[in-house]
Amino acid sequence: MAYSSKGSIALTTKLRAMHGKRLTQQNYRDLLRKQSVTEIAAYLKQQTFYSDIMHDINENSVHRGQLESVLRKQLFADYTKMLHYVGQNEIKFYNFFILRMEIEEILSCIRALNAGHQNEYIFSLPSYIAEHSKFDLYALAKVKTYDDLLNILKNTPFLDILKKFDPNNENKLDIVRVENEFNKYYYSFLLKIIEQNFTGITKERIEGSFGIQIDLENISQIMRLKKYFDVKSDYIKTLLLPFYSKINKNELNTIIEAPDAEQAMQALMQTKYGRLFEPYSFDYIDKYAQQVIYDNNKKLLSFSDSSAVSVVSYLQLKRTEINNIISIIEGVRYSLNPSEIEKILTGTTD
Amino acid sequence: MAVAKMKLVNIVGMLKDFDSVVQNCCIIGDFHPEQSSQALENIEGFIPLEESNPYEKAMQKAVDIGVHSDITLKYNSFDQLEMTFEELSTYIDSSGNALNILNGNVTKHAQAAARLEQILTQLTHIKDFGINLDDLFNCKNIIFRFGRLPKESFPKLDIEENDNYLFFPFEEDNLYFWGFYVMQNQNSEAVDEFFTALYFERIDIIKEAHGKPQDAAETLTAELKDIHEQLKISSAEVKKYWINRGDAFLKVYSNIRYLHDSFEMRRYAAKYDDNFYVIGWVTESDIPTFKKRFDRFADVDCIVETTQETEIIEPPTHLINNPVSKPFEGFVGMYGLPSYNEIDPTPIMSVTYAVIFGIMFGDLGQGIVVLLIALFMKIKKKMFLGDIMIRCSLFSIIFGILYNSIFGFEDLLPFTVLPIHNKENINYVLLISVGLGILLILFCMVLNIINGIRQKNIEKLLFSQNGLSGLIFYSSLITAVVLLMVFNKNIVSPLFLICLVIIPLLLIGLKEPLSKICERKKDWIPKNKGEFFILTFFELFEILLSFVSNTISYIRIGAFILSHSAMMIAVFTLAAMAGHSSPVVIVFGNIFVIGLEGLIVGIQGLRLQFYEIFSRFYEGGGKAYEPIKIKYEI
Repeated sequence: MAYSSKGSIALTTKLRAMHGKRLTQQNYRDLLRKQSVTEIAAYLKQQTFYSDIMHDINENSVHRGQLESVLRKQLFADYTKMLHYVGQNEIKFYNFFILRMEIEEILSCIRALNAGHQNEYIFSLPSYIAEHSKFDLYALAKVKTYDDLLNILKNTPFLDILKKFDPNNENKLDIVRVENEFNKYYYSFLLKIIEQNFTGITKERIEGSFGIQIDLENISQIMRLKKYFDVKSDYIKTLLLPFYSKINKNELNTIIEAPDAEQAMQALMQTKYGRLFEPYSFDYIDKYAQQVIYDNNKKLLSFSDSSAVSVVSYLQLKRTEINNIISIIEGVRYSLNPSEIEKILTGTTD
Repeated sequence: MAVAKMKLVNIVGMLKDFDSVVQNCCIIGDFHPEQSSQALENIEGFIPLEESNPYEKAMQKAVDIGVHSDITLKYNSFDQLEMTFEELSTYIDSSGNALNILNGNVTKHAQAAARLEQILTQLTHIKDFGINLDDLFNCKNIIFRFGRLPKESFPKLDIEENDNYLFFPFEEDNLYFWGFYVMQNQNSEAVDEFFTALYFERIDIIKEAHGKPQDAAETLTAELKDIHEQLKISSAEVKKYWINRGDAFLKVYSNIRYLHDSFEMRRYAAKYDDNFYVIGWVTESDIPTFKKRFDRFADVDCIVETTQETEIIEPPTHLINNPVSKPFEGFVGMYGLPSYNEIDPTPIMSVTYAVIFGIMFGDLGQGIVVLLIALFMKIKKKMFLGDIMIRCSLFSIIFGILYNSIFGFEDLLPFTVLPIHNKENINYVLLISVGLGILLILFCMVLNIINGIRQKNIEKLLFSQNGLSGLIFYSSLITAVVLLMVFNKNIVSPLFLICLVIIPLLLIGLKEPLSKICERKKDWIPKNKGEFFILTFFELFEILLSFVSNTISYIRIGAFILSHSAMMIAVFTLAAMAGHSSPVVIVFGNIFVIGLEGLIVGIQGLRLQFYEIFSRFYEGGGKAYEPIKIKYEI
């Protein structure tokens, strides 16, 4: 096994301490009832553990986008904090986070290109990962055509993935297929690294943690396609991640080949995940999938004694919290009722 | 001292009376409702009462106002309040509007103050420029913009490769560069947009600041003071609003909450034509009071069912315990509530846990300290753990007297009833602990048998390892061992072995098929005999192993008695080394031992309770008793 147990216990403890500083149910209740971005910023600055990074922000003039960017940066800051505890021989696994961010940025760039807004991509680019990425991140902002993009990614594994796609006659890339290919690459890379670096119970747990994510992404994808789009089973199958954790290929095929959404739902009920979705309806499949992942990660963080498992769980939980805050900011901006905003949040009731 | 007997109650009446029935009879706090659809599964004609709550909006608004203004929402009696729902709703709306205006004022002043502060900060950075600000901003061909740029955005400035602007940072802090950018007049809009998108915070100095930076700063500082005054006044206005109207607001809120939550009862009801039907549980002792409330309703019937009819719905577990045992309900709840037909383990636990704690942590002085801490926890912090520790510490004190141990001193009392500190008695201490354990195990088996009788479960009663077979097996084996080791009498004969050891063991192994035969089920023969026997063999092995390990496990009671006195010996040794039995060391040593031993003994006792004791007779899995009540706090 490739890690020192001393470092591992310290890191797990540190992560649990960091997790203790998360937003509470009371915090969410208060945030949901703020009436402007200014009030939200002021609350975060004065009444939560975000006060550290918000110290220099002027809540009266902070822009919504800037606030979001600061929050996302916090996630990255937490990640780099953890890296201090990780030995050189384990660093390969922990790169998964950077890989994920690189993929997100490439996809953002493609979306901007597709929409003809490539000039605007520069504004949302997260500078803080620039020094960690394998390619020149700032160059992404100068991209004007798809060939430019391929050029930048020349010496990276991403080139092979993108080369398979050509812009269609409207000069757009099929973002759905591209995203799917990237996800496949991400998870296969990840599972390979896990296979190489971990053994025993730790390996099982980490695989399980990502496995649940993969399963639920597949399930959400299938249910969404069946309910809202009229597509053939074969097409659905091309959009899935070819990895199976607690649900096997046959069960997934049964759901895919169900004649309509209701029957697909019933087929879902027969699987191990059925029990978890039971009381819920279609419209919130995504949300409840998120809730299942959230609950699982919470459990893993509390009980695990492996640092890798704790890191994965902590980052997932933190990411969820930040997404919650950003949803609240947007909800408030669009003057939604607190009870409406609450419906799209995950994990706010503990 | 047990799980209270519950009675299922059916309430039937005319729909027109539904609201007043709910308000006068059901939400007092002794009625646990069930989904009527469960009880009426097979009966046609009943449809659920599904209506959207008309009080929802007003209540949400009131809650929103309360939370936003940081007011603690709680109950305020609205008996005197005679307002219709429209009036209540209007009140909330107007409160919301008034507060919006007041809060708007506060925000306006806060923002103005913040603006001035920002400008002043900018001015401090450029105070060394000898330029007149008006000159700077009146340039015809170039435009200056002062402000701060997030450090994040700084690298992005180089990407655009144009010379339309220049940015000069003249100071930096953690997150920002303070500076200004210069641009040509004709490109100004585009460049402004570009910087805004990079979150440049423009501080429009020229509106307020004129002349030399120094002078401008002075003027603005005076202005800022004014604005702060105004801010104070407008904040005070908001506070005054709540002082004057807070009481009334809470009354209105409570009234709306009352209407809203009692409407929610509809979720449990069903209707048939213009009749409603509600079903729920009431504790037997509360039935007379409950029924009496319906006397005033001529058209409403309240029917109490007898137990035979209530087998479809599981009764909730309402624990009623005397005040001595009551705090232990918290621990029992942790493990799981008793099912309706189980023995309530709370009074049992209150004795076993407290006594075991006392035995392991027996010291008069330390027990008193724990008692004081527990009293503090109970009175000041209202923790249920405080109540439990009070009871434990009492036994600690009792055993401290029996052991003759006061803060570790073993010779202060003239008598020692239980000489545990004597080195020759170590073996006895350990053996007696095991003996205590054996008695507890036997007691638990008896409890399990009683549960089996109550639940009419043949397997549990006769054939399981905690049933009659297990009891006979275990007690015979223990008796034989004890007689052999203590009195050197060997009563183990072939007959003894076969009747009291082998046969019960076989019965335990074959418990599943045997219980199926007793219940007259046809399929008692196991399908795969080979698999069955192998599984049975391993199960028996595991059962034997667990008997041994559970019995030996109780040795920890003795172990902790000894370790407690060993720790005190260590403290005294240290005190002697520190010079003349230093009292400081003894005091700190005691504090340390109370903390450490206390915690360990508490946790180990709980482990013994949950694992060795409960697992032999207690299953948990009961349904919580949740009578419907209006909750005014959020």
